[in-house]
Amino acid sequence: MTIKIIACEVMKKELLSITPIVDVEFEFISMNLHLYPEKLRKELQCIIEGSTGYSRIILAFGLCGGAAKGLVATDCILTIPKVHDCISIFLYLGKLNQDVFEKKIGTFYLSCGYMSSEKSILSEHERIKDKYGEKKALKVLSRMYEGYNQILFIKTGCCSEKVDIEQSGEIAKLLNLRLDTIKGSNTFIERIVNGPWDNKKFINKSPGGILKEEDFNIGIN
Amino acid sequence: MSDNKEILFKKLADSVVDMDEEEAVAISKEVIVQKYDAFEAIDKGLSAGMEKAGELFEEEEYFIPELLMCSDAMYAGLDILKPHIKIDKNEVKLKVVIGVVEGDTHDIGKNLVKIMLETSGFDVIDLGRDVPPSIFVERAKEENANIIALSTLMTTTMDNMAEVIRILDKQNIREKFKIMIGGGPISQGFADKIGADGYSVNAAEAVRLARKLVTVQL
Repeated sequence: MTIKIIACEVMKKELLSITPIVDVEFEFISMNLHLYPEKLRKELQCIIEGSTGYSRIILAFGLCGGAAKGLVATDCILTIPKVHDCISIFLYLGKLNQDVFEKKIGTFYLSCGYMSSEKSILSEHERIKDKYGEKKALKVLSRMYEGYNQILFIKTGCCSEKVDIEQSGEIAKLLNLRLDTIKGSNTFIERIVNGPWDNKKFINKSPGGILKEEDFNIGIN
Repeated sequence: MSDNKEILFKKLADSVVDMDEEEAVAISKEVIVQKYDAFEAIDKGLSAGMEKAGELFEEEEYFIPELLMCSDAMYAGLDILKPHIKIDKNEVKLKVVIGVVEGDTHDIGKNLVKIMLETSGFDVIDLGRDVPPSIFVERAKEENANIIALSTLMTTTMDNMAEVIRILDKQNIREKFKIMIGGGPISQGFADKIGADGYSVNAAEAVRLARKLVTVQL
């Protein structure tokens, strides 16, 4: 039977690079909804409810700002990585003792998928510049990213990587931050597509089951 | 409210929504000239404007940059109006210790809450960002604060809010402080789960919540 993968488009290139073992149908969601967890939740629930006849529905997302909280499995098992966001997915190298990747504070992570978003920093800069002028655009961006001290590009082997890293350099220059790169991996991406979807790395809900914050280890003493 | 006052407060709100710092300043000065109440102008003008801006954000008309520019207009108006807020010199100011929790550096929302709490008459001790749970507790004790206000934008740092409450419980001083929390991934459900006293969805609500919490406390 066919598996459905509902994925954030930030992971599109990486997901499509995996050869599936079984029949897989993809549906990609805009990264724009990342800014609105409530709207993202509603969109995901709508798609889940409209997806029938699959053996499993996999959400290629994390908790994503709380968007996954409250999602209900309907027709079949609902599976989601047990991570807070896509950064943990890209940075999972499959090492034995690597549990949760500790994100460095003050680091703004980029990947190739992010660079094509309408709401990427470069796009936002152009939008604000066109509407309000360059002076205001730089002032606003500087305040928005004041808490960051570096840009870190996660390399997952996408074919557009060279261009994407160059663009990351432009972002770093714009925000007066240093740019670095880090080796990521498609190990988790491969697991999303082909499993195993074990309970250590994934949350699995039977029909009627509801995703909770506690499933992602939040609010547990 | 008289027509003229209503019109002026509406213009003040519009100046915030229109991100017009000069207009916000001009209207605020007019409020003073007309001898209208400065606090009322802040509440029904500037604060109302920021709430409207928040609605436009939800409608995807405004994004974070627009909200920042709206807040600049608000701050410009506040600079004019704040000195004219009637103060009861005998009144002991209630204290709030506020900060962004450890591991997080996003502070735009926290800064807005801080300014609006100050305008509302609270004495606000801003601990900044990336604040360890123990520091919230130590500073609240030192300052004899009434409220500890915790902010985060990230799900990975939410548990640091629970940790503040755990430390207070461990020291048997939980009842001494009201805990209010806020930020993107935060919810009333989470506030209830960790035993916080309240959750607010935006800065204007945070002020209302803070006032309610101290009234209950007193």
